[in-house]
Amino acid sequence: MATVDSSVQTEGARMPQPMAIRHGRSALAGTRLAPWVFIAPFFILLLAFSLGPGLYSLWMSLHSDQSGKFIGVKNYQTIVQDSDFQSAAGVIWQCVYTLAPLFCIFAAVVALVLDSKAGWGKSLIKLLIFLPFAIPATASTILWAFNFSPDSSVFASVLHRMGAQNVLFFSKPTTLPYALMNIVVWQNIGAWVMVLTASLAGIPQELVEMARIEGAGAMSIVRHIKLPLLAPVLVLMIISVTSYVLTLITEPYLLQNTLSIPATYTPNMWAYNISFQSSAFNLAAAAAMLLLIVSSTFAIIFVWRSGIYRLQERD
Amino acid sequence: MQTTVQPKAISARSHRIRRRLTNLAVTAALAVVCYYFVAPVLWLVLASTKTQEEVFSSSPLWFGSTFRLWDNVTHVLNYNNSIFLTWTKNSLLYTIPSVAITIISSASAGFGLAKYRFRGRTLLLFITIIALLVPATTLAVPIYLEGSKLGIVNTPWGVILPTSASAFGVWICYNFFSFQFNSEIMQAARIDGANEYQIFAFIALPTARGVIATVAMLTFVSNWNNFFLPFLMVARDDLMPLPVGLGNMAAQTVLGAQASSAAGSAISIMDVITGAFLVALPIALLFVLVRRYWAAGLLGGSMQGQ
Repeated sequence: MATVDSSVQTEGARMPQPMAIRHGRSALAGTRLAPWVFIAPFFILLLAFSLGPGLYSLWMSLHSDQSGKFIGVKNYQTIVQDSDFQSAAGVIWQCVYTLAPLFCIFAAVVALVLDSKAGWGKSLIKLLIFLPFAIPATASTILWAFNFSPDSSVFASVLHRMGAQNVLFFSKPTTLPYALMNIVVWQNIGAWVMVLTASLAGIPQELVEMARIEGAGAMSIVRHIKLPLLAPVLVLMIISVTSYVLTLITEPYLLQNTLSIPATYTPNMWAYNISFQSSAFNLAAAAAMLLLIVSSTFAIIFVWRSGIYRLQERD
Repeated sequence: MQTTVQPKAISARSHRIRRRLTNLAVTAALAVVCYYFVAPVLWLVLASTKTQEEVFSSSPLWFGSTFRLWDNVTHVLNYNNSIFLTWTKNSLLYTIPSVAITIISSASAGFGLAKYRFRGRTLLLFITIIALLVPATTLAVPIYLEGSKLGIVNTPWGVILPTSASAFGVWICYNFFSFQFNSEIMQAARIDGANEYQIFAFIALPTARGVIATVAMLTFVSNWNNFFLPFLMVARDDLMPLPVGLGNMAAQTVLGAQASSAAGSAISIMDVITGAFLVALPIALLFVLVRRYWAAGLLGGSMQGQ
């Protein structure tokens, strides 16, 4: 994943010379120290609030809540065997495999249409699709709670006018994941459409013209020029959406009553519930570690396979 | 003559008509997509001008019989000794320092990693990318567990510090300084007698204005909108930021999990709707105004490393 070109001349070795000549030893030492001073604030914070909590949770997860003794992976076994956690994992898995392709196709199609020459008023449309992304998840969940209810929904009123009777959204428990996916799509897709159209706009016009002169149709330009260029953004998008869904909590937590969602509906809700209702903090730490490991492994494999985020140096 | 011109004219016209039809079809399809994204937002704006009954009885996409926006807003702002204003103040108190620390730590770390070669640099870059890929929400519970050991739970620091390190910000800045900031300028400044910190403060930082604006905006919005971490970190009403306060408020009405325990509480559904409107409005306006920076920044951060 990280391929660093070692043939690149090392700047540090070459830079300090003129200073050393002019200012002597202390200046040289200052230059050597400088990069460490520059990187220190970030890495100290990262150590304290990412690596630290991770390691502390790992340590906690290996100890018993009752006796406080080291019990190995027993907490993990308890979680994996817990029926509530299993169904929570099932829900999330369903959301991931339904949403990832759907999100990708929807975003790509909308972006390609917005990038095409057809249609009017597209910069306004782009802005409107983007709007939900700017709304805090708490507020958007609240507004959706009302739009799931037939008496106040802007969708029920349209369907009603089209002749539908007794519109009820997501009333069955099996349809609940779709209610959550709906909010995730509504909230996040506009931002990705924005990024996709920005990268489509970056495609050199000569390349598209050349392909057209060679006889390529609109569809084959999309397939052979535009989609390959979008691929890295789509990878990034899948990672981001997947980790959002894997750690889903805000939306289902706030919709608990409106849609009668169980308190342990997603793995993160399960972890929250076990730590705050049952005070089983070591078990909660194990659940958090499980989520962290699964989502990070997924992201790392995806990035590694696709080869984005390569560390290639330029002198 | 005429016989050769006419078919051409007809085909040009039919071409034009076909083109118009395509435009019409595409615009119509996009309008349907737009309805899905915009109608709920419009609903929120309109609902906050209505009475509670009319939210459910009047047309969802039009005004009610009376315009009650100011009454609704005053009611939310006065609720529980103006706690809504306290939440707003808290949101600012948590977000502004975390954005400031993020800007400084990201720009300097990006600069340090891009412009110097030192032992362990590759490893640190690698760690940055890993940190970039770990979803922040998975760390919320661990941060809470560590925070309760450190004693920063129920203090502003418990929210500010964990949201002050942005691997994404470092990555964007690293890319900028690697590819768009010339090392020769630094060399020239050194010859003129500037030390490394002066080079960073007076040459590198001003050049990176655009990137820093992007990092600032991304951090501001994500920290301002953040729910789960502050939700875990602060349990006291008067320490909550806006999204947590609003969520708490919603939870005490029929929407929420604690509905039964809140029987007879002073919060009405209208407070929640108007509150959501007030929380969404400024950040939506801000974000829409500066959206160009945002897309460019995300793109720059993700793509230039190639």
